[in-house]
Amino acid sequence: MTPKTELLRRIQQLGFTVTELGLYLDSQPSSPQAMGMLRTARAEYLAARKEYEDNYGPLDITGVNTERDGWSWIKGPWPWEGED
Amino acid sequence: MWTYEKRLEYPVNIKNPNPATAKFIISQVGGPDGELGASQRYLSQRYSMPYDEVKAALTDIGTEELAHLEMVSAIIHQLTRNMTIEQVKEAGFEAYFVDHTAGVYPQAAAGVPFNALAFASKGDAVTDLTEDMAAEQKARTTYDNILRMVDDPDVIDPIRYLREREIVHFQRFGEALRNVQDNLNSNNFYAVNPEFDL
Repeated sequence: MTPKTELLRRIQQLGFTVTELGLYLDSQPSSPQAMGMLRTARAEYLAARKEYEDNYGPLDITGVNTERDGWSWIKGPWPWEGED
Repeated sequence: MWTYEKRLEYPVNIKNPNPATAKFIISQVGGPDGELGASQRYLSQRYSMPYDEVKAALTDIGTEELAHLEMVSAIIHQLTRNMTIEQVKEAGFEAYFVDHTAGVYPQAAAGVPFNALAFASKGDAVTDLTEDMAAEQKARTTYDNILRMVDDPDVIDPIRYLREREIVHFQRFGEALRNVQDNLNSNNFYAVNPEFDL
């Protein structure tokens, strides 16, 4: 697995953790344990996203490094092509 | 992968309920040229589209259509909240009300439930982008027809915004089609289907 794919897997894991804890908190908003886990996962998720965008390209349209890469948003492979 | 942003793309703040107006604006939720069909049409077409610029356009426009679906749904919600049974009857809103109360349900103005035929994904780049250009014009016409019948400025303002976006999307799809044609045999664009043969 390339370092790029490894980092993407980490983002997918942390992203899922944030989604799952958010969903839990929607119906149990005063759980201090879930809130603590969310804070930790969220910080790691945002840091991993930044590392990915700095090194490999945008995850969303605000993440394009326009000075360095131009409009790299259009650059493949796209997620549905099964290449990472 | 999508995430939800807790804001509308453009504000919708309607002060007065008006189920008579909701009865026809609902077509831009679930009618043949509505925003639900638009979003899933473009997002479905992306997968077999071979050119990166066009994949980007279909992704970005499809995503914006989801935001438009939310805006039109917000318009329907605000036109039908706090309405009285008298207003339901006066507006001829009984048929919708009995099945959906004041819930938002994707249907055409004439009451036909959303039809997946609106997705129109043919798997041919020229065909699909031509479809998309026509779809944007059909939605623009629908918004023009809505504007002929609405006099509440709270409704007119976001509908005008949505109408304008149809024109911009039409322009971008035209550029996407040109991009596809630039990759094909200029003597015969139909010699191959770039989504299948290349």
